[in-house]
Amino acid sequence: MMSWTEVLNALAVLGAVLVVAYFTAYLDLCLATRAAGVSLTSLPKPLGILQPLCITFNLLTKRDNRLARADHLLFRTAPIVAFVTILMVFGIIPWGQALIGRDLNVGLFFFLAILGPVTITLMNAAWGQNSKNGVLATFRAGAILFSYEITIGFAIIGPVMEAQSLSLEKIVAAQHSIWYIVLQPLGFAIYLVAALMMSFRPPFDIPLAGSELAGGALAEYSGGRFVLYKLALNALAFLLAAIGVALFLGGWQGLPLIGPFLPDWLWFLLKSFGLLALMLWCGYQLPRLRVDQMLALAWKILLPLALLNIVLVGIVALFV
Amino acid sequence: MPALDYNGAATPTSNPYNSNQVCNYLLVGQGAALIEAEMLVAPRYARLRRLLLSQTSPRQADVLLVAGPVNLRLRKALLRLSRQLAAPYQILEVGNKVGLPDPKQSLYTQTESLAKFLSGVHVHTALQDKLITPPQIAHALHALPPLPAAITTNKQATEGPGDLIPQRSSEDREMATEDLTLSLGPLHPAIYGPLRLILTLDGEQVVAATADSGYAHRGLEKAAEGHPPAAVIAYGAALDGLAPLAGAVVVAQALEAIMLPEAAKLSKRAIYLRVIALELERIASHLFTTARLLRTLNLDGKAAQVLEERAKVVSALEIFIQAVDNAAVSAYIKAGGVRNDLTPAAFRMLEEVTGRLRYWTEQEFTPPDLFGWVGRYAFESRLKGLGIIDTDTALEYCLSGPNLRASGIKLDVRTVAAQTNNYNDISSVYQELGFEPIVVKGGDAFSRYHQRIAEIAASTSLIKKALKRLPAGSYQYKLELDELKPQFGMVPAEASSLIESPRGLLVAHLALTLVPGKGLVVERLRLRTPSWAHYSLLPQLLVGERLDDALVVINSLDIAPDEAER
Amino acid sequence: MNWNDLLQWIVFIVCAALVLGGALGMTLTMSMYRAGLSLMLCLVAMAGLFVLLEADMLAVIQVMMNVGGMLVMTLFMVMLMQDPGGEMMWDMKRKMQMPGFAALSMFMPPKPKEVASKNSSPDSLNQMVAQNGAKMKMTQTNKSEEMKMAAQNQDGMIKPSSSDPHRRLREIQQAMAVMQQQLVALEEELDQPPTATGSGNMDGMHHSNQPNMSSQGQSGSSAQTQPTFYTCPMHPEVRSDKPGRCPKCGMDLVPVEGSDSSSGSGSDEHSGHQTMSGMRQASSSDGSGSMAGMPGMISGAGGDGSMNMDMTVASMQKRDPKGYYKMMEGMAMSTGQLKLAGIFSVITGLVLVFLIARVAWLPKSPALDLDGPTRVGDLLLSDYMMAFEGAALLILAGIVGAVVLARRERNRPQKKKQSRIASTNLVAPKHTQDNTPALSKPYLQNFRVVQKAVASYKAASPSGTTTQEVG
Repeated sequence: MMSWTEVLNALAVLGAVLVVAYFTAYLDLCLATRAAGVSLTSLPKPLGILQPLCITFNLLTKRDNRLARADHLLFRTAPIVAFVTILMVFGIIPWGQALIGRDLNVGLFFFLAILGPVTITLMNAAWGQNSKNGVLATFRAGAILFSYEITIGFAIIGPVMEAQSLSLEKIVAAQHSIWYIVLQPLGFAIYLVAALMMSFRPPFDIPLAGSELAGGALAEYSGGRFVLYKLALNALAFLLAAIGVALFLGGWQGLPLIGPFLPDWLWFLLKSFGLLALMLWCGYQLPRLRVDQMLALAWKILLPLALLNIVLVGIVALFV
Repeated sequence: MPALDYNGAATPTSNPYNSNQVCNYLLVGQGAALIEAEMLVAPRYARLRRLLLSQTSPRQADVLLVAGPVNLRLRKALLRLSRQLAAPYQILEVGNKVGLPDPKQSLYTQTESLAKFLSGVHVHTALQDKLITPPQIAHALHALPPLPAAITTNKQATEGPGDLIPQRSSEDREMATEDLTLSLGPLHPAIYGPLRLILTLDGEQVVAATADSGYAHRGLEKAAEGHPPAAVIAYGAALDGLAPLAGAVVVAQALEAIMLPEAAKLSKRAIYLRVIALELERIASHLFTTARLLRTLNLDGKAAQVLEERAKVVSALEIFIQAVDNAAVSAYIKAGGVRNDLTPAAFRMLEEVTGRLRYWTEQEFTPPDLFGWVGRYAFESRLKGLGIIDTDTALEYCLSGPNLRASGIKLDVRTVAAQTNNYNDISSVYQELGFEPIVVKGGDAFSRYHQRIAEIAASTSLIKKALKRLPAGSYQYKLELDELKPQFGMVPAEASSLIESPRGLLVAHLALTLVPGKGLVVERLRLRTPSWAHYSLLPQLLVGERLDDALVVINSLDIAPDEAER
Repeated sequence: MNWNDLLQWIVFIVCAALVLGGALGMTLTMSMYRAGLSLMLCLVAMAGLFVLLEADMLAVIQVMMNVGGMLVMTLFMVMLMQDPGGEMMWDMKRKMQMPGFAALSMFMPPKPKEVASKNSSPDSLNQMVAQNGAKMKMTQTNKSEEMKMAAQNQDGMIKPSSSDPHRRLREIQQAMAVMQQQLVALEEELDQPPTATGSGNMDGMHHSNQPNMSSQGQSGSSAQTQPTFYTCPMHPEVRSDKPGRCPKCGMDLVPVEGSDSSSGSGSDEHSGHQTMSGMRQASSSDGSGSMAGMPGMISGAGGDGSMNMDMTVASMQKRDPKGYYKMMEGMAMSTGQLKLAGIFSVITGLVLVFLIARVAWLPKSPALDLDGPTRVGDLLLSDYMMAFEGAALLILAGIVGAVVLARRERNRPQKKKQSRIASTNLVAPKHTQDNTPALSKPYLQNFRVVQKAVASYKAASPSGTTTQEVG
């Protein structure tokens, strides 16, 4: 039934996206600063929590450029579509017990399917600028799409097999005795790598490569659209970490031995940001891969491993 | 101008740090590489980086920071770039008169401010004739007037991205793939300095490359003509922003060969001090090149660590030569010796730095330390087999320096006694110190990377030995240059000298002549720069590589455009 | 009807509109990339319909499969077809301001309607053509100017009158004569080597080459004309009627052809920009640019006369030769096949309607449970078998058609491919050179379109109908 609670629900999801995107930006900033060998004390107090805000305001003062000779329809809508798409997927995140935007019974599948268009928007953004770097970025984004979509698809089959449901609520609930990271460490590792690929983070930021394509797909954005796209990409990174937590790290449930002495949503946020930090930190340690290296990694290593993981999970599910 | 404490201790209220305005800048120009190295990663500017954010795209930059001299070609490129900025923006020009001792001499370098060519935008000029340090730039940036209010209308169309997609011609309708011509540079975020390559891409693979030079040409050699001999060392020092001492030494050697009397010898101590300075500079330059390569691979964290080391080496060098600011670096070299002696403070600093560097090179600069072999494998897979220069090609193209030795050829000018009439040869000191050229086989980008790291280690031990064996004596020739009376008439007296600069074989050929009324002046100065040879090999080297690998190859060759184009 | 039903209706209507809009967009756009996206939109919106039927699983599968599938198709189209962006065509659409539904597409019906209703007599027509001659020489115009001229035509000395059957023919003939002149001029121009500043020497930027966009390139294309005034490239407010130097910056003044009316109302900023940089013409993206039409197009689709012949011809010159060539190139791709596609789509539609009419439209049991996919699958393979198979066959036919068309494009006579080795001189980047092919062929192709139009007009005119249409 359509009611006001649903509208409030949607607004809450929107607010959650903005908040987590902000903190993702902050986390990213901290990690990038750490990676550059700089301590956090150089950031504005307390701990530079306002730094993303300063940067955002600075960017918002810029004029939103109208490019001459660009494909305006694609170029100008891309950040909006990306943001809305990611917003939709946020609805299925189980923040806590019965704290979920909408528990779809095909939730996980929904997550996979809806994130495809995010890549499309990135391609639109790159294609729409009508520049040569943009064309290269378009093809890069298109070329890598399937490699991680299929890999991540196989990686999340493991928890689905264990929990025997596609609903994220049920998958989280099924981990009350043991987290799936214990049963499927391989699947977890594969998920992490594929999630890094899917969130366009280093070392897989191939379509956005700052040094090669001079910014790639986002190079021509300025002002509000740039901020919106950054927001969407940050939200995407958090989203992938959050789904990873729901799939492998017991979701909103407390630590097995310590027990739930924190609110469930807080557990979920802590775990998600922890996993996000792990992902981003690993990424910053590696050189940016070439497209062919990334494809080889996804198709030749991760995908067979994911298949092996499915077999192992099947054996575990049958005999344990 | 208030005194600024950039170490973050006590900050006066007028300090730009206390303003919370974030400034996004896009740094371009000949001096960009050095400034970026300092500004982006040196730890002493950590607080600066909070407010000053470097951007790679003009669309997101508030301030277009043009560093260093701008020649006429580069000016056109800058005009185009300025049209791609998103309003509101400003342009700040710094150090546009640096790079030549007397900028008015040059026909090629524009000495007027860019403001003359860009009406309607806010062009500011600061620090015109000084070499620039990041705090100065920070101050200049914050001294800019506030940005004009944001324009909310979107009516005005701005310059689109430059590279329009080429349309396919009707005559070319076979199913062959279509080439894409991509202009890489001269103001590209991954290329340091105004270097331009026109790549023809098939997919992402380079099928043809053309070098388009001339964006950093300053007419240095021509500008040096007609000056008195004492001034010519400054022209040698202006050759390469990353290694001013090498240029100064090579010109000074040529000068000494002409001017000093036949029997005169430079004191050993002076040459030892020169060797120490040169090796420190070589270490700094190699560290910079390494960091640049790491940044191309998106390993900003590791690059930052390397650049921290470089900052320490540079500060040791500054203490060693007692430089007041950067501008004084080249003044250390004087014809007939060096400007000042080794101080105890400099001695301690050098020992500390060489100790640190030994630790660093023992770690072998393994940049990616994630999971050991995973990081190492990823790193090596990005470098190995790229831009292979075999020995024949290397000799054919007259490569020199680390690029040549990485191809397996054991040739280092430091061990070669000069064939010229330069009798105060620096190579004898290297021989005394027991220097052996380092050779890494392979000739690819990975070999060049390792070559540089091995040379850092070798230079470190050279400095240590030189400090240990530093002979006593004077550090200067007993007479000043003006007091010398060389014995020649109207026929120009010529001399050449060569030196191993951080980038390779650097040769100076100097001719002095006696002009009635003006006395002794420079007839001709000719500089053979190593980067030019590497630059000419580059197009051939890039063919067959992918676009992302091409940038690795470019940065592994350590081409300094300002040095190459003089 | 409660809220829920209403909402469902709204969602249904929106989704259905998106499905139809996506399908239309795909068939009508010239941009391969947009065509793929439109198809994607169509299929994703269809997933919305599935959600309404409570077949969530099917919806998700629909999205997942089709986004990927369409993406690959788009990439292939982009990589294989000519002019994948259709960029110039969209640009043109904005400038022509085709009203109504046709504005969504690049569909250019070759049939004019009452084009010249504004122009009355042969005299005025001659006058118009003379004006065209003058206008052709202008390199910088904008919309306000065009509108001004149109207004002048309408309420000034030229009275709208009833149709003259032969007037249209004369008009076309005169247009042809003008076009022929243009052809000669353009060919001459292309034979000349590009000047260093005009097209060769791109002072590449951050990421920039912009072929043939500098002021020299343009002024070259209209060198035979008399410049109206001179202005500084940097200071547009500086104007002089003789060449010289700018008093503000000392740069050489550049000639500007055309009237002062470029600083017309409503686009001060824009025209200032155009004049200032001299870099870009007809580049405005907000529709205030010049009404660059194309010669092959006889009329606006809306038939309101917003495009008429003289403007079309006059605006030819506003493009630089290469842009003009690109425009023709894009045109040549659509016009010939559009008719065929129309017939084909009508037949297809009829077949689909027939198939749908044959089976019961609404599902037998409207209450689909959560086991929707099975039910939908059952329905698809039972009641909707015919439609399902028919659609599959159509898709197959479409693929085959695309391949055939691509083959046909390919089998045209080919020029020998240029050597891939870049020249070693350091001046001209390659692509500025190999993108300046001989203009004659596509130009003549379009020329033939006009000839055909004239011929059909001649054939039709003796019938004495007043509102002639050129087929």
